[in-house]
Parts: sequence; structure tokens; C-alpha cells
Amino acid sequence: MEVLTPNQKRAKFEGANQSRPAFSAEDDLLRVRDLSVTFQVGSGREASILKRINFTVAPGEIVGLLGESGSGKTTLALSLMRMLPPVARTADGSIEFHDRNLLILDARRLREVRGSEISIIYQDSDVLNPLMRVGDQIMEVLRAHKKSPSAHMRDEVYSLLAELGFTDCERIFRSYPHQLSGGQRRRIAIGQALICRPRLVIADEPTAWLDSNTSGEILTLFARFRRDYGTAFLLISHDPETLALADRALVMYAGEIVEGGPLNELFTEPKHPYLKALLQCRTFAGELDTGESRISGNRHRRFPSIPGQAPDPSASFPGCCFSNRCADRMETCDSHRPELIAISPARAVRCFKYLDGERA
Amino acid sequence: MNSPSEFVLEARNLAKTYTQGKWWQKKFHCHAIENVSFALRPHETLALVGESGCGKTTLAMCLVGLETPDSGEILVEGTSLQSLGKSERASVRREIQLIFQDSAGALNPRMSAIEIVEEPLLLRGQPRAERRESAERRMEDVGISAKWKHRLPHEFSGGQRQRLAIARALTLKPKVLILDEVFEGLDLSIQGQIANLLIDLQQAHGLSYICISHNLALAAQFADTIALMDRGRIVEKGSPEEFQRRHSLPSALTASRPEAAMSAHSGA
Repeated sequence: MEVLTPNQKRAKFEGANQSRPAFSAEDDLLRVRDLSVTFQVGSGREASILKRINFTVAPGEIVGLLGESGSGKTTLALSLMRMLPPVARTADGSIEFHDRNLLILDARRLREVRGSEISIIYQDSDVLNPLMRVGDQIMEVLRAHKKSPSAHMRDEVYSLLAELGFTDCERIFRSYPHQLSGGQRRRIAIGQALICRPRLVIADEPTAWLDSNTSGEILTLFARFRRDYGTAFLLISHDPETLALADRALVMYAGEIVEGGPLNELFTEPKHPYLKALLQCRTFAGELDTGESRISGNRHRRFPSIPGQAPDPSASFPGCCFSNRCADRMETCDSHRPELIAISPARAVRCFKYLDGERA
Repeated sequence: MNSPSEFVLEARNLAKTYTQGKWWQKKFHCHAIENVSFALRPHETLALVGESGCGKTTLAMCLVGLETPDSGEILVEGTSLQSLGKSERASVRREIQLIFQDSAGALNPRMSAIEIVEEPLLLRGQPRAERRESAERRMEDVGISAKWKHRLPHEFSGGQRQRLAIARALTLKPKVLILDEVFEGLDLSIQGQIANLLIDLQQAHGLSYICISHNLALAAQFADTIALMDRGRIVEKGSPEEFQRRHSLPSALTASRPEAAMSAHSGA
């Protein structure tokens, strides 16, 4: 069995989703090609955190990025904004946003893009300045990108606060972060990202540490923004449930996209062994299974899990990154790295099992 | 009513109120827990389920003695803690260990793995060789190889750190382990590993668990008894099967998931 060249078998994710708003242009909003990022670890050694990432986001599309901790999803988010820490190096690739390569944009132009056209919602909840009223913090973003009278901006912030689901905007505007609950602070941080009506919002774990009710509200908010303003979202999460909103999802493992396709297909018929195993693990935290296993008592139960752990990114390994945890490992998996194989126009999977076009 | 050995841990009418406000201000009383009673049998897993702010963690703090309840009694193997002197109470308290909500934050970043695990024994004044040996055994128990004993917490992954926190809680050979959101923040593929480990340890060491969670589905999978808490009170108690019968649990469970909450909101 031979390894296919990337050009032959690279996935074509385009055309995957039907629910794209009608007003979207044909071409893609964001096009990431062969993006590789390495981190310096120790002296002279480099760990490759992202390995040749390829994907696109169309205007008004919600793309989910599913990956567990250490899979590189936050690095991907930061590299799209060119906000990687100094130890990181973008080794290869291009990030095209509206036909501009973000990787070679100068600082001034980049500043114009950040916040107003692409914005990011950070994973950590405490990104707010504790000494500033939250309303002013949202206005600060607006002020950085637009020139209009303060009263105007204030009105704009008020209407955004109402859109974010706050009822007493007056009080919220004047509050300091510590006077708000975690969910409210999160919504303010989201407000900062949305105030300029960007075309693309990168939401890194937008619902982490929130209870299910608040996360539901936030996801609803995203859906509404997409509907009303045609905002595209890159929704990053470790939890398949959070991605329910997405049209299309990409699954990341150890710095690679291992599978991609329309969300409902991906979750009903997973192909990659990793995704299969991961979705099985959901029975623990998500669905109650009501068979004999419950009646026999919990003491003798085994919960589904994926044995082992993700490989160390600083150690290079010639084979498939999932081979050490894979249930269907073959001989080639240890020595060759699989490429993304298109198994249907909308779907691709990085696994040798699908090399011959057969659907195991 | 109960023979002293029937329950390993019992709480009777526990209450804890926090008061906010300086002397010149109007006082604000927050009844964190009110009139909470439960009993835990050996080998039993009790899940305390509730939304954030319902008093789950306060209850855990009271049980391990990090907070003093305003009223009510805590009985460990039939002996009331109130009736004991200070040193006796401390030795009884060793039977109940807590694994903190944020285990990564609960490990001292400047101590090596073995130091973290052996620290409880150090406080007990055991000689070094013995300490090391039993700490290494605990580490092996939770599936962390002894060759990693000199690593610092940040060199471990999230799941491994959780294992380390479990190992530390086990060093004093407790009878009850309180698991405060142990599955939170762990990867989906690792949650099952930790759950399996906890079940194995329960069998091997005869532990009882109090599992604190806001995820009813998870509790239903993991626990023998579920106690549902709301605003500081236990409002409902029963086995997962009973819960299922009474509430048609699947619907209650799906309601606790973001996608369902989402559709509920968009419908409203």
C-alpha cells in the first residue's frame, strides 16, 4: 500500500453545507492552506503543533472544530489571528481571508482586520479589565475601528447588550466585571467580539465552564447573529454537544485534521477510529443507556474510554498519530502517515482503512 | 436505629449560612445548605447533583471539615464528630478525603509528583523510606508509573493530574472519597478512564464515594444513589432507576445538554 500524494487525495470540503444563507458569495471567506506551526521546546528542539491544516470557511457558515486538549485547536485559533506566542513559528502555509494573506499583512493592516473583520472569543473567561465598566470595554473596541460620536456608539452598545439577552442594559453597561456572574461576563466578552459585526468570529470553547442553560443561550445567540448579519463562525470545542450548531465539522487530533464533513453525517456515521471511539465515550457523560448494564449495578460497569493518551508533539513519529490508541490498527499505520482521503464530495478521513474507497 | 457500622458517613440536618455585609450595612444571609441529611453505606456511590450555586461544594467542605456547619451533626461510622475532642476528630476526619474541583490547581506546582502524594504521610510523621514506598504504591494504583515520580505537575496531562490528585487522596487510606466535579474539564476520552479507575479502586479498597456533579446523566451512570440538590436542600433522592421512572429521565437528561437548552431558548 502506498501513501497518496496530498494533491491527489486532499479533501474537498467545499459544497458541504446546504444551510448557508442565500446572500453568501460563492468564494470562501477564509482559506487556510497547508498551515504548519511549530513551537520551540527547550534549546533547538521544535514540536510541531499544527501539521498541514487545510480548510475553508464560507461566508455565513458555522464550522465546528472538534478536538481534545493538546490537539492544537487553540493554536489554530491564535494563528488565524496571528496572535501566537513568541515561541511559536508559522513554518509553512497561508491563511487567506478575503484574498489577503494574513500571514504577510503588515501590522497596521492587520490591526484593521483584527476585531472588525475577524474577531476571537477567548477560552479563558477573565479577559475583561477589572477596573473598567463593561459597557466602556465594549465601546473601546468600537472606538478602535470606527469614528462616530460617543452617543452613537453608546446606543450601539446598548442595542448589542439587548441582543445579547440582557434586560437591564443600563445597569449592565455601568457594571464592573466582578459585579456580574460568570455567564454574564462571558456574554460581555462575546459582545466585544461581535460589536463591529465581523465577518468571521473564532469562538474558542465559548461554552466552557458554563452551565447548560447559559451555553444554550450563547449558542442561540450565535445562530441569531449568523441569521441576521451573515456572520461566519469557527466554533472550537472539545465537546461534540457544543458543535450542534455547526453546519460542518472538522475533527482534530494531535495537530492534524483527521476527519471532516457535514455535522449530522459525521456524528451519525463516524469513519475515523478516533471519532468513532470519541462518540462512544459520550454514553458516559451524555446519554443514559438503559440496558442490562445498569441493572447489574455500577460496580461492575466499564465506561467507554480511549486507552492511552495523545502522542507527545515534540517526538516525531513516522506513522499515523492515532495508531497507538487505535482499535483497528494495521501494519502500515506504524510506518506511514495517512493523508486525508475524500470518501464523498463532502467528507474526508485520514485513515488507511478508506484508502481503497471501500467503506469499512 | 442504625447499628454504628451500617453507615460509614452520615449527615443529619446540616445547615450553613454565610452572612455578607459589614456592621453598618444591611446583612445579607445566604443559606448555602439547609437541613441536609443523608447516609452513606460502605461501597456506595452517592451523587450530589445540582446546578452551580446550589450548595454542593459547601456541603463537601463541611464534610471534610474545611467549613464548620452552623447546626446539624456529622457521624463517621456512627460516631458524632461533635462528641469528639480535637485530636480524635482530626484522626476520624482522615477517613474522609476530598478531591478538589480543580485538581490541576490543587497540586503544588513546585512539588514533584511523589512529594505531592506523600505529603499527607509527612504530616503524620512517618519515616521517609516508608512514606516513599507507600506513595509509590499509590501512584502505581492510579496508573502513574513510578519512574515519573520526579516530574512536576505541569509535566503531566490533565487526566494524569487527576490521577495524581486521586493518589494523594488515597494515601491516608480513607473510607470515603468526595469527588468534587472530578470529570469536569477532562477530555471525553479520558473521562471514561478516570471513571473506570475510580470503580476499580472502589472494589480494591472498599471505598465509598460522594460524587458531586452538575451533570445528571453522568451521575446516573456512575452512582448508586442520586441526591438532587436545589438551593441548599436535597429535594429528591433515589436510585438512577427510580429517577428514570419518576421523571422519564432521558428527557430530564437531554434538557441538561446545550443543544436541548438551545432549542428551548429559540422556541421561547
